[in-house]
Formats: sequence, structure tokens, C-alpha cells
Amino acid sequence: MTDIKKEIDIKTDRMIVNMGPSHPVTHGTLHIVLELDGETIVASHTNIGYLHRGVEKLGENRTYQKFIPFTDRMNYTSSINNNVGYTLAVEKLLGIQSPPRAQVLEVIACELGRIADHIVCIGINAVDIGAFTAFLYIFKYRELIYDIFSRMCGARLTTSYTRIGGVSRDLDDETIRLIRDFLKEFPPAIDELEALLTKNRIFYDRTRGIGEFTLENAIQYGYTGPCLRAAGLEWDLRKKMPYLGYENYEFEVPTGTRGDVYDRYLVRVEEMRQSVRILKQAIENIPEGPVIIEDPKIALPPKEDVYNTIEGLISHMKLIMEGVRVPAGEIYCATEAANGELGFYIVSDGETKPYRIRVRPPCFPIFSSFDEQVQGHMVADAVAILGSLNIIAGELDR
Amino acid sequence: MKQTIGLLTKYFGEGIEVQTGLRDETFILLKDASRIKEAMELLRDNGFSMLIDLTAVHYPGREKQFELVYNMLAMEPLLRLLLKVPLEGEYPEVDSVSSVFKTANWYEREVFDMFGIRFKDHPNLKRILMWEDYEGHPLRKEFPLEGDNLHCYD
Repeated sequence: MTDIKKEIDIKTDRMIVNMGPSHPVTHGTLHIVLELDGETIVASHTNIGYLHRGVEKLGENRTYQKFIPFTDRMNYTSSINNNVGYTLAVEKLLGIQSPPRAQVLEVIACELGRIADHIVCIGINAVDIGAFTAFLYIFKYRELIYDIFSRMCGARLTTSYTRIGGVSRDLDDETIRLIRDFLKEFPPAIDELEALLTKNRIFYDRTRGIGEFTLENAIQYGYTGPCLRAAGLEWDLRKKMPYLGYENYEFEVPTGTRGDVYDRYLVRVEEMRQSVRILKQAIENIPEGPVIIEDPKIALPPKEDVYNTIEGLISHMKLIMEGVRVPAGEIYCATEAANGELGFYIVSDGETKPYRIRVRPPCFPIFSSFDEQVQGHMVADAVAILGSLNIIAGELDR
Repeated sequence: MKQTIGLLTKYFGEGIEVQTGLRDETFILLKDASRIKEAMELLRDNGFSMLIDLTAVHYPGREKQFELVYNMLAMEPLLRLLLKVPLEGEYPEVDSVSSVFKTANWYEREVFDMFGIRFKDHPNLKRILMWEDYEGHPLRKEFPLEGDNLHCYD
């Protein structure tokens, strides 16, 4: 008996498969080396850094205002959330708050950005595991969001919408009409997406139980955002540590139970619905007033003042040539971006440039768990897991 | 938060110093870098279950040039604590906490890559953002912004 078993147990060589640095399923440039035994992944090694541009070093040599465009290029699928997160950090350092109207506009921008990010994540994740149709249906709405963004700030991807102490432009009536139309059209589109995916047997089989992660493990790895919520913890900084007046909006925080790819998908879908809910409340209650703080030491004065008064001209020149002067000290400010906790740790020595600026990207700790997560799964599952973690290389490498 | 500070003072005595931050943060300075692992284990077992961030700051003018910043988060209730550890020397070495928090593994690699701080008993201390045969540590203050021209294509 034993001899026969020995003969059946044929030893095979392990195979090394390179995914990336440039590969259709790595969204951005990542390099994953998979060690396979047949179809099963035995070990995996990830190499990152292909998109490293030294954002933190550049930040040390720019004024506070000039760092805003760099934040666009971190999580490029929801750059507006990064803008808001960064300016909130600087506002905390200065000890100011943007005017009420600007705060509501920032909430609107944030929630639209969150929807856009989740559309990308879900759409691409579905494409990677073979469900192309859902992607085609849902991506139309990302385009509508970008149309709104381009009316709000003049750009679709590199938004740079916020300024220290407010936002760069006011919303006009046409944009508000576009947002209202979007809010009417989008919920049926989520239903359509769910009809295509949620009860889809093939999608369910490909995602249920894949990349299952326990809550303890998720906390050990520093998970935040949808991936942590999918593991079963109701954790959302918008609820736990409200900023921008999020305590005034009614919304719920969805959670999963098993923390697998399917749960992450469900959490993201429900979050899009909740974002629509927040947007509906925000768009009806935009207060009147200025959109940027009236302090010539922090925000640019209005153009009439610059052209007609000497004070306006001087403060304009001082701001452009020198920048905003902030008090010396250190702060850490975190916001709930689409991927999780986006934190900015700023050390200031009282100059117009930060002494040290550290970006805490949400997907860096999440991706560090990838090697452990894929072990024992099939090659095709690695693709599903990678998509569900929503790795954005620009944010990962900075 | 008072409870945690009380616990830390009880455990470390003179070894820690509480600094009030500019806004609402609490900074705790751990003077003895060799006890970092103890401190992290103590914090982890007393509610601070997540290591949100680990980074360093370079102060070339000071006697202790580097300062590691461990950004801790307690979930119930929500508390944030930033543990600062000053380090001495040009290329200091400190105990790795990757056995306490798994997420520290990559963060420590990043600090090593960017600042040249080495971590004892780290399972895989390699460069993470820059490539492996790169020389220099970009986030040190003496590193020029435009790079060192060693790796330019000519």
C-alpha cells in the first residue's frame, strides 16, 4: 500500500511567476513574485517603490500652499479627498476652521470622491475576475462625477480643489443641478450593479472565502477603511472623530462578517449608498457665505482688493513670495479617505515651509499583509485579492 | 489618557516625559531607546491595539539626531498617542517591534530606507521604496533635493 502511495506522490518543482511591474491586474506599477506549487501559491514576495517620487522630501522644500498639487498625485482615483485631508491638517496646525459654506462644499467633494474611488475599485475588481459587463455599466457614473469635478475646480483628476482656510471656487447653480441629476440617476445604477454581481453565482464563488482575514489580524496589520469594516469592526473616523461637521449628517457604517473579498465588495457598495445619502442632505443645506477664510495672512485677498488697494497688493505679494507662516509645533491629522485613514503628520519650526511632512497612506499597511493573505490560495485568487484591497501605487510609494 | 500616562509613569518612572502638543495631541518622550519593545508591548496590552504609523524625523543640530515617532491608536475609547524615541549616532540601531505589531515590518523598512536607522531582529530589513543597491538615505536633511547625481543617466 505504502509503495503505491509513494508513486502517486510525484514531487514537482516549484514555479516562480512574476506579476508586474507592468501587468494588467496591478493597478499602477507593483511587482509581485509568486512561488507556485501547481496552481497553489506557496509564497509571495512583493516589491514596491516603482512610483516613488519623494513627495515627502519635496514637501520639505515647498511652502504649505504649494504642497496641495502633490496630494492630487497620491491617490489619483479620489484626489479630492487627499486635498481635503491635507488642508484640514494645515488648518489644524494654524488653529483655524474654514467657513461653514466651504465645509459643506468639502463634504460634497469628499463624498463624490469616495463614490468615484469605490466605482473604480469595484469595477476593476470585477473586470479582473471576469465580469466585464458590470464595469461598463458603472463606469459611466464615474465620468459624470468627473464632469462635476471639472466644473467645480477646472480639472478632472488633478483637482487641487481646496486651499488653506477654504476652497478655491464656489459652486454655481449649473453644478448643483448636475449633482442633483447625478443623485437621481446613481441609486438605480447601484441596483443595476448589484443585480449583475451580488447574487451572481460565478462572482460569488470567485470571491466568497477568498482572502479571509480575521479582525485581530486586520488590527495587527493596521487595516483601516472598507477592508477593516469588512472584517467586522464598525470603525469610521467620520463617526468616531467627526470633522467637517460630519456629526450633523445621518448615515450608517456598514460592516462585514468574514473579511473576504465578497464582504469588501458588499461594504463598498453599501458605502456608495450611504455617500449618496450624505450628499442628498448636504446639497439641500448649503449655507450662504464666503467659501474661504477672510484673513490676508492665510488666504489670497479678492482680486478687486489686489488691483485697487495697497494692502491687498502687499498681502497678495507676501503670500505668493513667502507663503503662510504657521506656529511651531507638531500635529497629526487624520481623515477617512476612500481607502481608509489618510493621515498627515506635520512638524513645523515656525517657518513658511514644513520641517517634516509625513503622509500616512491607507494602503501601505494594507498591502503589507498581501503576502500572508494569498498563501494557500490559487493564482487567480491573488488577482481577486489584489483588486479588493484597492492598492493605488501613487499612494503606496508616494 | 490619564490612565495610560499613569501606567507608563508607574512602569518607566523618570524614563518618560509627557509633552503637551500644539493642539490636542499627546506626545510621550521615551528617553531610553532600548526599552521601546517593552513600551510597545505595554501599550498594546492596555488598549492601544493599533500602530497607525511609524516614522522618523531628522534634527541634525541636536545631540540626539533622530527621533522615531510611533503613532498609536486606541479604539475604545478613541485615543491617539504619539510615542517619540530620540536616537543617538549617525546610523543608530534600535529594537524592531515587528514581533509586537505585524504592520511595523514595512514601516521599519521604510524608515531604514529613508533615514538609515537600523532595526535589530527585523525579519527582512531591506530597502523598500528605493532599489537595493541605492546609496544614501533621501529623507536625511543633508541629502540634496535634486539628488546626488550618482544615478543619473549620462
